[in-house]
Amino acid sequence: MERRHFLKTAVLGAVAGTVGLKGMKLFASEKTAPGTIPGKDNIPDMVAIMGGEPEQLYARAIQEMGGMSRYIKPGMKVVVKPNIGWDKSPEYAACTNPVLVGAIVRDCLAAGASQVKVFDHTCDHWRGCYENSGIQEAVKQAGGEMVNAHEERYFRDTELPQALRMKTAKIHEALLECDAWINVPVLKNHGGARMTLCMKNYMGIVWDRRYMHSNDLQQCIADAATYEKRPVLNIVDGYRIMTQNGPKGRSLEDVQTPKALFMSQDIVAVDTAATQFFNQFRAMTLEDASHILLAEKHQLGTTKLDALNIKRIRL
Amino acid sequence: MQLYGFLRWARRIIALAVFTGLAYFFIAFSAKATALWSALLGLQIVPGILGIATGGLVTVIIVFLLTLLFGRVYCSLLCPLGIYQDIVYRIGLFLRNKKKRRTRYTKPHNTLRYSILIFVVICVAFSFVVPLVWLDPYGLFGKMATNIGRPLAYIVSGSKYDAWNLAAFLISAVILVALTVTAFFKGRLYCNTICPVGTLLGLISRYSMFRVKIDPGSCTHCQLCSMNCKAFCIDAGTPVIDNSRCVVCLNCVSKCAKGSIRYRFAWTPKKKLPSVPEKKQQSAGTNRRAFLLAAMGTGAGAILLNRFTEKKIINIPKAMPPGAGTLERLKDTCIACHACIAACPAHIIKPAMGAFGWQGFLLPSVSYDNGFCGFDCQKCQEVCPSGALQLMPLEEKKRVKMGVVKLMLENCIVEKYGTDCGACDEHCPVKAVRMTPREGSDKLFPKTTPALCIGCGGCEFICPARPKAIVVIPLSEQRRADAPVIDATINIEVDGFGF
Repeated sequence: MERRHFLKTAVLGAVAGTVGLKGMKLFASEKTAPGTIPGKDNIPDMVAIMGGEPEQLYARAIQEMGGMSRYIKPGMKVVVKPNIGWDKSPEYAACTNPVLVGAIVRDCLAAGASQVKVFDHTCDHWRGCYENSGIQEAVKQAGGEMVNAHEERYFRDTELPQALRMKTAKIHEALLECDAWINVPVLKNHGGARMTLCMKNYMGIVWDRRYMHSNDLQQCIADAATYEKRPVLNIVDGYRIMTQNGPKGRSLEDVQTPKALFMSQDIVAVDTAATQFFNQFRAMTLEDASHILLAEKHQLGTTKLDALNIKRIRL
Repeated sequence: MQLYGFLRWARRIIALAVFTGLAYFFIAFSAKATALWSALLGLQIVPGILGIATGGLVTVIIVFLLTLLFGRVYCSLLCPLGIYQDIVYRIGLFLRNKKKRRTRYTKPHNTLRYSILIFVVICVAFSFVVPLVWLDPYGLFGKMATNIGRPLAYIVSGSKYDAWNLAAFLISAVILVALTVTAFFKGRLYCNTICPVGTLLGLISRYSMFRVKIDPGSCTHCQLCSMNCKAFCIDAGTPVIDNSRCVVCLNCVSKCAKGSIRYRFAWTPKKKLPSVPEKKQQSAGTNRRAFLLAAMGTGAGAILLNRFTEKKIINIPKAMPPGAGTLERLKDTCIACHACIAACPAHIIKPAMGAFGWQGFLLPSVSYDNGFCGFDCQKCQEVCPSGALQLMPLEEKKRVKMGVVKLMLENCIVEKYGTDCGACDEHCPVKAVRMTPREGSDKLFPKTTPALCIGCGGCEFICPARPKAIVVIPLSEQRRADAPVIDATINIEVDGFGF
């Protein structure tokens, strides 16, 4: 919560034209984005964009959101958490697009992050996942660091006071120790949770999956999302999406390529938007993917997209 | 003399490279170097013989030819267990008081070694491979490296080792201690007494093209060569070398001050050494008796054993790694070198205890307690040197049915508590289990299609229910799973965002 206040203050400061140190930084980096003057009114609650390559989509979306330096301050320890759950190459859309992950890592470092760590508690054997998803290579090239998450010793007990079912969870140490993290799932259907998006992506920061599956999965996902350190950005990779046989997928027939991307600070809103986008390919309601509604009850965000300032862009 | 120095150094370097290479792969397997590993394993003779129909023939020809030309260089250069004993013996020499060294010639234990060889040959001829599980030097090396070295390496690195097996560790430890002690004091005693490979190659190396020989004319019987022989095969008094036990280390050659002991071309039709035939006849007599006894005894034994255990085991409590085919085939070709256990990234292959009967003790078995078989992984097949786990195209491996799914819906989370789960569906690579809607419920329930199941164990591993709601029933005869029904390609074009 502190970070939110901090960001809000920084934004307000900028609007008022206060020349503080943080404000200076903000202005300085904003100069590279032509035609936009940063300020509360210009920053949408969500950016939905489609019709481009992963890097283009990301570059435009983050520009609309005010640039990475709005979210990552110099010296911060950053975690980027993609979905790397399966030992599948990028065209199967089982994992987050490696190009997108690489671009985000690079951008965080450019914004002054002291380190960028990337991990996922994978379902398939971790080495295959890290390698064949292409994410390990992309992260290394971007200057980030892949960290292990395949053993319990990397996870530490953490209280989730707001939670209803999962009151404590073992959460990955990199996430516990970071200053800011960015949540980057890929858009897929899911046999259990129905949809796997930003909140479902939390299962990769938690050690005990089976507990979640056996104690009301939907509630546990919403509970996990109550972890006090919220992602500074939620970016849903919709470049390739999996519409059936998810989350692992079986063949390329499971994949559609709408070339979309959704970005927001509101995790419930971005999951809602992605679900409604998915609904165009295959029937899906928020009642099915009920963890989104449960998260709204936890006051983690809103499902009422009409009330939000959403910037829709077609490239 | 310089030439011998060079040859000895070449031997040491090659042997060390082979040994450290193999030890590294077994103990700290790196998934990337499978090709190099399988190349090193491909030179092992016993897996070559057992897999003679599946690519082992080349290995057998190479090793036999090498032996026929140069003597038992295989034992010195390529056998990891032999190299290990050399290292131990060397350390022993270094530690021991040099003044106490004396003649180290011993008589060959012919009855024992030929009996063992014949016993093993007859057993293998009757498809009874168990003796090799306990005697093959490469297999013993693999067992020790995998069950002792690997857990230790994991402890050092601080990771958890899921394929840990106490029984296999203890057995390997006993063998390791026994071998280390005999090697320390008696050099290559194991190789020349127990090892069926050593005995077999010894039969050829007696007549190899190049042999270490003593020139009786210039020999002063100073015993220097004998004192430096790790095979204890030089009788410097006579003087004569037992070439069936000589592993061509060439240590004696470089020690001889007179230059009367040489490694040289030996197929010259020259006069034979006078003392040799006498001795030969004597030992041949014992050999023949031993041969007949052993042949009859073990032949009958092996046949009886096969009779008694012929009943086909249909239900096995543990699955076999992919490519094993049938349990019979696995037992016929596997010497439990545990390369597959070391190679499996998921650590699901473990030494079998009672799962495959007493004949299958220590053979590789699959358990899904802490992992499942990777759909795109066939490391075990890639490294298996005997073809017991038959290497096949990856697309074929993806259809190998190690077991078949069994769903016990009454244990299922969705059925019991009415909450979403779907962990099994999530992990199934072929959609042999799928979350399916049911009338009157907004939940999805697992539904299985056993014909598609390959028995990878993903569902069993991840199922959060206790007791498990979904398990894999292992098959003693691996089959081919039905090809997954691929849905038709539909490209959906979307114009808007939908919100």
